[in-house]
Amino acid sequence: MEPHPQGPLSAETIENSEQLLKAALDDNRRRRAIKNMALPIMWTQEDLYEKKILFTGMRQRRFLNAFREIRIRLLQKCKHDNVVLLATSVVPGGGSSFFAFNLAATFALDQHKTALYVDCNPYSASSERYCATPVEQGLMHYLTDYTVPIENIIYPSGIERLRVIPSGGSSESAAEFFNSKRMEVLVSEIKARYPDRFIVLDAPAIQQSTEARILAQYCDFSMLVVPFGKVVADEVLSAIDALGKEHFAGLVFNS
Amino acid sequence: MDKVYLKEVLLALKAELIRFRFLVVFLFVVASFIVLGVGVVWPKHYNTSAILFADETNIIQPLLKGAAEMTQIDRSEQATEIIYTRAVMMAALKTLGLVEENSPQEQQNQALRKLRGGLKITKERNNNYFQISYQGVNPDQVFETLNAVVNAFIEHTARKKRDESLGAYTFIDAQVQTYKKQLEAAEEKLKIFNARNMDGTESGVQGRMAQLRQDIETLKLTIEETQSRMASVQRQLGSEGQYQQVRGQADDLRVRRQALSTQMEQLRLSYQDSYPDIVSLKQQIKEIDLMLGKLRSTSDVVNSNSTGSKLENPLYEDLRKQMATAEVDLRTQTRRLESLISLQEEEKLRAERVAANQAQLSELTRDYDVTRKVYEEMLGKKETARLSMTLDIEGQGVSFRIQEAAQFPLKPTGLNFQHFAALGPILGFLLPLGLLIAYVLVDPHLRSSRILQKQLPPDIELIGAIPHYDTPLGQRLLQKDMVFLLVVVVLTLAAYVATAIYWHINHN
Repeated sequence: MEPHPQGPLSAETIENSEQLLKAALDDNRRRRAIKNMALPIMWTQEDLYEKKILFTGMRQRRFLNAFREIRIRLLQKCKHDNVVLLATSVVPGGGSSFFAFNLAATFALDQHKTALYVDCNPYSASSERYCATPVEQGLMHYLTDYTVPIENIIYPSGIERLRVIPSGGSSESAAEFFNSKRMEVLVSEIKARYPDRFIVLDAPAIQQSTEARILAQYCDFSMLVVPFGKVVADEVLSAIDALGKEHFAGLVFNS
Repeated sequence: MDKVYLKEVLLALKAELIRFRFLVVFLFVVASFIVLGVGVVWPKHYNTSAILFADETNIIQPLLKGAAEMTQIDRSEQATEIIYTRAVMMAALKTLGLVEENSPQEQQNQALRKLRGGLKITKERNNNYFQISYQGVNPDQVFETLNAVVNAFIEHTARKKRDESLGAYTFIDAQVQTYKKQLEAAEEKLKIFNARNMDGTESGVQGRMAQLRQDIETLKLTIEETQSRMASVQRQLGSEGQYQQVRGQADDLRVRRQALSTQMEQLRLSYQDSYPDIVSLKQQIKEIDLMLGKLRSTSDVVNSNSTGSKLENPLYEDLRKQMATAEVDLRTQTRRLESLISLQEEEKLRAERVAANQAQLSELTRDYDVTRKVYEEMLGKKETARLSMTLDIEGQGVSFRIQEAAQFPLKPTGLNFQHFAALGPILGFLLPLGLLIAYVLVDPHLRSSRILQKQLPPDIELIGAIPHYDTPLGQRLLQKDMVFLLVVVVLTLAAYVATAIYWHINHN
C-alpha cells in the first residue's frame, strides 16, 4: 500500500561525499514518496468538523493556534526530526485521542513532515473513525500474530501526510504485548520509515490501566492531558509520577 | 486574583452553565413557583401597638414633697418584666375568653406561649416611654388582644401599688404599736425606780456635804475662839484676886490713920502740940503713912479708889460670870461638832448609794429616750404612709398612662403576596446561578489552566491549553437548545405572571 523506503538514515553512516550524494538522492526519493503517498479520500470540511479535527482555514483560529503553540514547544525540545510522542490522559474520557490525533494533524500540516497516529488504547475503538478506509487489522493483530506485515495495519486518514494505526480490537493482555520485542521493532520501524516523521502514541488513561507507563519507554516525550473539571491537582501529580519525569514534556489542559 | 484567572473562572462558569443548562432552567422554574407558592400560603400579619408612658412625676409630688413617699414602679424594663409575667398574661387571656379558670394546664400554656410569642415591647425615645405591639393573623383578634394586655398590665400595676402602700401602712402601724408598748414599759420601769430611790440626786448630796463641811469648819473656829476667851478670863480672874488683897490692907491702914487723925484733931483743940499724946499720935500717923507708902510702891491699885468705900469688887464678879458662860458655850459647841461629824459620815454613805443608783437610772433613762424617739419617728412615718395609701387608693400618682392608644390594624404588615410574586423570578434566577458559582468555586476539580499552574510545582510545565472545539453541528444543537430553553423560560414567566395576577385579584 505504501512505497517502501530503503534502510534507516542517520548522520553516522554518512562518511564521504559519495555516501553524502547517495544519501541526498535517497532523501530526495523519499520526499517524493511522501508526495506520492496514496490518498484514497480527502475529508471535506464537514467531515473534519464532525470528527473534530483541525485544519488550516478553520473558523476557530484559537484552537489552531493552541496546537501550533504546542508544536513549537515540542520542536524546541527535540534535537532530531523523527520523534515519538506519547499522549495520555489522567482519567478515561479525558480527550487524549482527540488531542493526540489533532497533534498529529498539526504536524502533518507541514508539507515536509509526515505524522503517524498510533492508537494504543485497546479499550476503545475510537481510532476507526480516523481511518479513511474500513479497518481489517490493527495493532493488536500485529502484536499477537507475527505473520501480519506492518503494511497491513497502517491506514490512510482523510488528511494529507497523516497515517493511522488503529488499535484493532481489545485484548486483556495488551500490557504484555506492549512490553514485547515486536512492539519495540514496530516503533523503530515506523520511526525510520520517513524523514521528519512524527509518531503520536495514544495511550489509555493513567487511572484506567498501566499501558501508558509501559509505552512511555518507547517515546521521546510524553504529554499528559488534563481534562476540564474532571480531576484534582493531586491526581495530576500522581499521574505525572506514574508516567515518569524522564521523558515528560508537560501538561496539556483540555477545556 | 488576576485578570486571566477571573476570565478563566468566568469561562468555566459559562462551560458549566452550558453543561447544566436544563437543570438550571428547571431549577429556575421550580424555585420561582415555590416562592410564589410560599407567597400564596404566607399568612397575613396584622400589627398594632400602643405607647405607654411611665409617669414618674405628677402634680401631687411637689405638693407633698418629703411628706409622702411616691410609690415608684419603674419604667419600661420593669414594665416588660411585669407584662410577660404569667399573672398579667393570664388576666389578659381570661378577658379575651381564651382560657377559663378550670381549663386544662396544657391549653393554658399553649395560649400563653402564643400570646407571649406575638407580643413585643420596644423602648421609645427615652426610658419612660415604651411601645407594646402585638402581631397576629386576625386583625380583630390582634386589636382585642393588645387592648386586653394593656388593660391587664395597667390594672396590675395599679393594684400592685395599692397593695404595696397598704402593706407599708400596715407594717408601719404594727411597728408603731410595738414601740408604743416598749415606751410604756420603759416609763413604768423609770417610775418604779424613782419611787424606790429617794436619796436624791448626786448634786444634792454634794451640796449637802459641802454645807456640812463648811459648818464644821466654822464651828471649829468658834470653839477655838471660845477657848481663847476662857483662857483670858481666867487670867484676868487671877490678877483680880491679888489686887483685892492689897486693897484690903491699904483700906485698913487708911481707916486707922483716919481714926488717929480725928483723935489728934480733937486733942489739938484742947492741947498744944507738945502735948505727949499728940506727939505719940503724930508718931503713929507717921508710921501708918510709911506703911501706906510701902504698899503703894508695891501696887498701883492702892492709890486708885483710895476713897473706895465698898468692900465688894463688881469686875471680879463679872469676870466670874463670863467665865461660867464661856464654859457652857464650849461644851455646847463641842457636842454640836460631834453631831456634825456623824452627819457627814452619814452623808458619805448616802453619796455612795446615790452613785450606785445613778448608773441604773441613766440606763433606764436612755432606754426610755431612745424608745420615745423611735416611737415619735414612727408615728410621723405612719402618717406619711397613710397619705401615700390614700393617694394610691384615690388613683392619684398612677405610674403608667396610655400615651397613644392602640389603632385597629387595617392593613397587613410584613411580607405580602406582591413581595413574594416579585421576588420569585429573582430568586429563581439567583438560586441556580449561585449554586453554580458555589460549585465552580468550591469544587476542587481543575477548571482553569491558571489554577492548574498555581497548584502544581513550578518544574512541571504546562505546554498548552486547548480551547473547546466548536463544531458547527454542536453550535447548531446548542442554539436549538438555547432557543428551546428561552421559550420555556418565557412561557414560565408568562404563566407565573398570570397566576400571580389571578391570585392577587381573587384574594385581595
